Amino acid sequence: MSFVNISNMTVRYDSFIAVHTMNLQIPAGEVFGFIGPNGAGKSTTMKVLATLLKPQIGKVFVDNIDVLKEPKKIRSIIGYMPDAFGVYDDLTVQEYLHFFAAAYRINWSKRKNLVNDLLALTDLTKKKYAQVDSLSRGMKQRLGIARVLIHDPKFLILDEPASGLDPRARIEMRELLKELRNMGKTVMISSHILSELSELCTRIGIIEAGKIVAEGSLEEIYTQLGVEKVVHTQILNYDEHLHQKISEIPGVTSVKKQQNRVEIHIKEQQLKPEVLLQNLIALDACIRMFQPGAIDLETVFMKLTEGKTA
Amino acid sequence: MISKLPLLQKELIEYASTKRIYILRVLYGICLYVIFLVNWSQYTSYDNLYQVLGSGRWLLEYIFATNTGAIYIILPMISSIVVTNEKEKRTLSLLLTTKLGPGLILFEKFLGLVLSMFYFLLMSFPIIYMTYLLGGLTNKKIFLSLYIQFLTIAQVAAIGLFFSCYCKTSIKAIMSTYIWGFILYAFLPFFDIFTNISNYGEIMLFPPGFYFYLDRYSLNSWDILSYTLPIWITILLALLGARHLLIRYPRKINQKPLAVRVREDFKLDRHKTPRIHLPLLWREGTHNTWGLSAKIFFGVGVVIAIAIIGNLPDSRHRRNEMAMIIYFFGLAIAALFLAMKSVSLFQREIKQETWDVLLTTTIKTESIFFQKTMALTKFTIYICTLLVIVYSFNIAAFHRYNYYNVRLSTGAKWIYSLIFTFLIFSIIQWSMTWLGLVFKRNRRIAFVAIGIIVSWCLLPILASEFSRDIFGGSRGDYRIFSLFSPFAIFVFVTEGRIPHFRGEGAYTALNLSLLIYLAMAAICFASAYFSSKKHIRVCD
Repeated sequence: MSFVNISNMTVRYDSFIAVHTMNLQIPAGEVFGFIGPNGAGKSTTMKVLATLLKPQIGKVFVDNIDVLKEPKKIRSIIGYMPDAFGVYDDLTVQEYLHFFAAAYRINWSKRKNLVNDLLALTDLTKKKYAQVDSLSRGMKQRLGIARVLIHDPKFLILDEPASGLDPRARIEMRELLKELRNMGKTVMISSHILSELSELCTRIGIIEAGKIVAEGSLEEIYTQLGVEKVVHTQILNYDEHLHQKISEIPGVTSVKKQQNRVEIHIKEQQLKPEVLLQNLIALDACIRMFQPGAIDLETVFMKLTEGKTA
Repeated sequence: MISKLPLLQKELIEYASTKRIYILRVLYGICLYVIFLVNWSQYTSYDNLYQVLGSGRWLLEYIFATNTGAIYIILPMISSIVVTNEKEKRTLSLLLTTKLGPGLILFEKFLGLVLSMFYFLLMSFPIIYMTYLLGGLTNKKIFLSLYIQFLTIAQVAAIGLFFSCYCKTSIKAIMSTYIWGFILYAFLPFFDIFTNISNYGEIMLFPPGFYFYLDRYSLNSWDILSYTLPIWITILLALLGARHLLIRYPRKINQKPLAVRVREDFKLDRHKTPRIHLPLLWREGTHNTWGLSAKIFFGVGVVIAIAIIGNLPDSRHRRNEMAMIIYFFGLAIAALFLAMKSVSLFQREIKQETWDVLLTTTIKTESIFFQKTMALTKFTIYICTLLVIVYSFNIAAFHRYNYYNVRLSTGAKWIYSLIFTFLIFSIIQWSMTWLGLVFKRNRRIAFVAIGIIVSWCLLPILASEFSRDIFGGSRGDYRIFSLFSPFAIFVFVTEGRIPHFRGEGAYTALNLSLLIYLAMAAICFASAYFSSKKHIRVCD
């Protein structure tokens, strides 16, 4: 059974259906990227997993524990960070972490070392005695991550952790999340910054109007969608005859001559770039450059969604 | 013309579409017409027509008193939040970057307030006409009443606007407006205004006083204007102050809070590792700056009150009444503070966006409730103790003669005051905590809280006063109703007697109300406790 298992979940706010019969599975140890337009139902789904909302229909399990029946058990294995971080501005950084350590009933003797370790992990040791409201947005975000880790949860739910951060803070956040992935945590992240999710996530789920429209590893989704990959080449002996021969290779959808290069569009599930290269060599093509382009998540996202809200 | 004042246009549309203001208008209308009709039936019940004629003068006074009362209760609630609302929605900075400028923004907001309150008072115009028909009124009296009501509106609106510009949040602005409003008027001898107006200095800043003061003399419009000049000056000063604060707002918004600056200036860094056992109680108790400032405010207030009580003038009648005013002023402010603090107990977490984070921790729901309310209970005990101290000084300084054994003994008065203070403030604490829990996402719940407290104080008294007029019998038959009003209870305990209840009767009545208040406190606590299970967490 998957670590997170959502089946037929529907969440309504009065007559408004925020999430509609959702089915979602996240295996243990995965970093799951949750993507969708604003108002698609991402935060609602995350709130259900964090025991903050009750769905009207459906079942939700985390680590084989029923979220609706045993929310107290769930709270000890999850760490939830809302998009607004949830920091008390009037506390210092160490007081804030000690506050939550006490809230999770962590033994007093362990607290000091734990707080110091978390501050080191999130690179906030220098700010230990600083007032929370004097921190920058990126630092507050990292403090939020430190808080989430205080009780060593198995499952992290991070709602838009990189929103509103400058490029440096975003890179730092990405590195921190990679660290968490290496620690073996199961992580669920929602974000609008798709390029980062593609680097970080092992699985993604795309949600629109309260429904999951695609779910799986990036490769699986590309395959499902039949997204074309572009291979940029420079072929010195390129002519009409060679153009014809390349077009006839199974899996090549089109060949376009650009000013100083040739773009070969392929369906990756039928033709891998390395196989294409072998085919080109077999056709006696004199190749100076062979550069398969990355399929970006944005293309997938745009292809799958229409900008509808729930 | 109104299209050239976009902010005024927006304000008027908002006032027209706000359900809360609509409800207030209906409640005001009901109160106004009930008070008028009860008095109308009383004054027109004579068989002799000559006794009926001329009664318009007295009826106009009732209308005037109701209207000014409505202005003092309703307008601070509306005026003190007009700018803080913009601050909370973060639209004030945007407004200040437009071509409107601080002066025009303030003028449009002020005009919006005056007009919205005028719409309230419009309801009284038909009955003013009816009083005019009964006679006893001159045109001057009617115009004077309208002018004074306008002045009251303008003054309260200006003071509210000033505090709205000064304070960061709506709740603080409401509190400040009421408290400074009280302070502005508290040291004017209220009790003389409606009976024996003799001293211009006493009413100089209190518009309703002029209604009675200026009526005695034959004055033309310019004279009336010149007499009320101090009020115009207070309005102007409040508006200028508000404008100054608005100009400074963009600079102030980036400033660190005072507590942080003090900490930095005095190098009060908190390097010690905190040893936290109950996290919420620890945070509420040691880091809630509002709670600390409230404690300092009340502590200083008590010292000032005791000093004033000890130095009151020699005339015994005036001394007793002024001491009573000081005590009741303290009671009112304490009740207001406690109500606001209780009703916003859970809302503060939501505003800080820490509520969701807190709920996903492993703290039990019951523990969240008790830790939060424990800090509040400490505050309640603190203010109740201070109030009992003020009361103790009050009765120690001014012994009231006990002719024919009609008053309670000093010891009984003190014990009743102690018990009632703790009971009534517990009721306020738990009922407002319950209200704040159930409507924790409603940002305007503070208004409902004020409305409930005011109604609880006034409605039983009105019921006891008007029941005789409606159902007949003697005033004493209905006096029991007034025991449900905490205001009346404090009056009875301070005075040491309940009208129409003598000797043992007074003790029985007070003991009975003690039981009722005890039951109310238990019900309020139970409501808050049980609703905490339902309203704190969705999944538990």
